[in-house]
Amino acid sequence: MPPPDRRGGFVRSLFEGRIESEAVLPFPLPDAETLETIAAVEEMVREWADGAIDPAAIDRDKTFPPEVLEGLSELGLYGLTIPEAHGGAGMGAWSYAKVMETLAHRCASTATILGAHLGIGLKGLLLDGTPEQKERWLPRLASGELIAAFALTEAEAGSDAAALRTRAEALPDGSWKLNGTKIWITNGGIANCFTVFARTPDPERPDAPLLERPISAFFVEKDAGGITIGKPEDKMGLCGSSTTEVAFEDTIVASQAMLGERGQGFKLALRILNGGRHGLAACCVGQAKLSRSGAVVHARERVQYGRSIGEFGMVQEMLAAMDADIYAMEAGTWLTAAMMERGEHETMLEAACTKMYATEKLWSVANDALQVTGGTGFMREYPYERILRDARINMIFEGTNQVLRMMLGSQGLRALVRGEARPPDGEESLQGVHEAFAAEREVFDALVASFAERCRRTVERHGKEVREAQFALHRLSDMAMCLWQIAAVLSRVSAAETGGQASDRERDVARLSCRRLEREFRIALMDEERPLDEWVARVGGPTP
Amino acid sequence: MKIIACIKRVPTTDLEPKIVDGKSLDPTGVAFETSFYDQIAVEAALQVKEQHGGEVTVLTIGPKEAQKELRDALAKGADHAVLLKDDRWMSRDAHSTARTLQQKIQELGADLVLTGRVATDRDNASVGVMLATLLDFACVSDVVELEIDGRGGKARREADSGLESYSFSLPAVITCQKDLNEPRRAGLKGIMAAKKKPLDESDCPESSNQAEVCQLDTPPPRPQGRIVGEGAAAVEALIDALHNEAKVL
Ligand SMILES: Cc1cc2nc3c(=O)[nH]c(=O)nc-3n(C[C@H](O)[C@H](O)[C@H](O)COP(=O)(O)OP(=O)(O)OC[C@H]3O[C@@H](n4cnc5c(N)ncnc54)[C@H](O)[C@@H]3O)c2cc1C
Repeated sequence: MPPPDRRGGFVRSLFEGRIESEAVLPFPLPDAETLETIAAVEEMVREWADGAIDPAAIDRDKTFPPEVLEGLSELGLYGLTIPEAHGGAGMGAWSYAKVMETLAHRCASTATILGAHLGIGLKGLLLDGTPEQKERWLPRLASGELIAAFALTEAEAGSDAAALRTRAEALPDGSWKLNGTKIWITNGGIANCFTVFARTPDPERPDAPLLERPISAFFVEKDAGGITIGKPEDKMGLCGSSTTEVAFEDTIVASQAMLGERGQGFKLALRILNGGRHGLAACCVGQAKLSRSGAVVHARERVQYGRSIGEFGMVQEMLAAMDADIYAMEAGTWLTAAMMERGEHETMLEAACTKMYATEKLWSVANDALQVTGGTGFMREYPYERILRDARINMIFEGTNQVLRMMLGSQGLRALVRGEARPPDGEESLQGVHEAFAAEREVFDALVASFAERCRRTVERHGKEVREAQFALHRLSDMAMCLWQIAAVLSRVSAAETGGQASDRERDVARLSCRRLEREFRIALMDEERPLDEWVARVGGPTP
Repeated sequence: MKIIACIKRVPTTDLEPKIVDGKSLDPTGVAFETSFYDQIAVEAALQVKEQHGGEVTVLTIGPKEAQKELRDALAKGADHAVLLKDDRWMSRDAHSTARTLQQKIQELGADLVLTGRVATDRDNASVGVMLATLLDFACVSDVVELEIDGRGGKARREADSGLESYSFSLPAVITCQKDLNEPRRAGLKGIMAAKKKPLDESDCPESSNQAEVCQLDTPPPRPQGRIVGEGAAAVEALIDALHNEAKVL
């Protein structure tokens, strides 16, 4: 993976009113050979998953069939993104997203197992592992002999993960002794290795209180001893994915188990999470498509008042919204993945926008699918209620959508707060949009200008304290997310136009998509211009 | 041992065909795959190679896009692929296909040629046996069991009258029936390895059809079912309908 050359960043520059078109247009599609290979991989996964995975049984029995785990290993999927030199397939962010989408289209629990392994469980090794660490663990992780988990969260450290209390003490021989309890660890019950975050003593302040000590990361095999796995949590959704407590009691690991630099563990945790969010978004795409396809058939076949219900306007609205939102979800996910694969531009804020949008739209798509299917949708015999239950967690884990909005807003405004913003010289415009979408591009340009204006005023008003101004951060991050999504849709549809593949239907879907995003943007803008913050604070604030 | 598996790119079987110009299939929006029985031929080829050593070549006549089907066979373990490019591959007659394959196979050399019993698009079940005739190879068709030893082999085929057992000498053409094996799945490693395996592409030599399709019709739609009643009370009406309307009892 080439290191990102931190040129501007598309979303970041929107906060200052600049439109860095070349980051997103033309759509940075991988080359034809890569696309062909990925298509073959997708087909392989789809064929296998459709035959081998029974998502309803997994959900009902709340256990995961060992044959499916073996299947993942036989296909080589545990090594998807591990370099070929270490026994994997060496594929990039785009393939990872495609595989996650395809698996989630069949079964969200299965996708979660693979995502926890590749996306977060072993990612630390890929990012910061030494050559020896990689050689030692990656081949076994690629074959599925080792299954990884990511152990950050603790009872007192959820969103505020930096408040973790697990401690690592240095022993005289250089090894480390771990003590602490992690909770809600995905793959907890099936993993045999963990990326663990713990506090290590600060050599300069050996007496610093626990919560002031730096955080380091360790790669720990389960047979290190002193590791207890809790019983599986009884959850609302993702019932086939194992979620457990993982407790460390005097677990001794060698000095070579430390990942990255001592004291840099928290930064590594954030880099891992930032690098995996597009995979979660891809899962949402898969599940949303599954909901949609069932709802479309139902709307065609269900007859009421002597007509198929799909002939009624209010049902059409729901179906059209699904198509438009899925189009944008895909556009954002693929664009983020493609940008990550190229590695030329920052993608942290883009991935955050994509995760927020995809997880929230999956929720509304799945909800509408259940509405279209009516009472049928409410029955467990059909997949709609399961999809809804499985979808809910996406807005909570890998950074809750509130925490991501906070991050997006405050990161985006940082240059303005520091007085380092580089506002544009003249009028900015998204370059490279196909002329068939000139009208949508003009809307985008105008929205960026009013967004930048609101950002400037917000910083004028709050200064450094803007980090605490959550009502404003919420609105601005909503606007930034909508702008990112519109840009992604315009980039995607422009590529289709240029390639001669755009159909009239695709044009309609893309227009609808832009329009819905514009509307969402304008709602946030209205609240920004006529804020109700005082009322909200009085009504929603802590009661004495 | 030199083993060649001949495969065909066909529309997926869940396709609801649309006909254009009265005699061809409308290709828009159609998904393609390796014909079901040809997948069995590829698997049989791989199994023979695993038992006796040698090399497996997959051969197809088809459009450039048929690379996908060839790559799939390479991903499963075939060693070479040969594509004879012909955009009108779906409208070739069995004879011109068999003739072209024969020429290529003679050029490549083969001890064993495997084909599917029938291609699932045209349902002719002719190419394999014609190919054997043109090559002057031994031939067993519709094979459900196959065993190769050094110089020849044994095969069982399903005939209307029962199971026939053959012994044959090599070189031979075997056409594969569905119970012969369960095709394997390509894994990620196979897909990555397939990228590096040789895939030779050349234009298909000119050949003309001896028989042309002059008209293509979709099968007549099946008449709508009818519910004759519910529960035990319906039995009588049902028997009556089966007797007198459907005339199946
Ligand atoms: C099924 C499942 C699987 C998981 N898998 C893993 C795993 O593999 N590894 C791992 O380490 N963790 C895992 N987690 C933990 C998960 O990442 C946390 O649940 C998540 O980070 C949120 O923490 P919390 O649940 O403690 O919520 P809290 O942090 O208590 O948040 C509760 C609510 O308050 C809001 N909130 C909190 N702080 C702020 C703020 N500053 N501003 C605005 N709003 C705020 C949140 O958005 C949320 O709505 C998993 C959780 C679940 C349920």
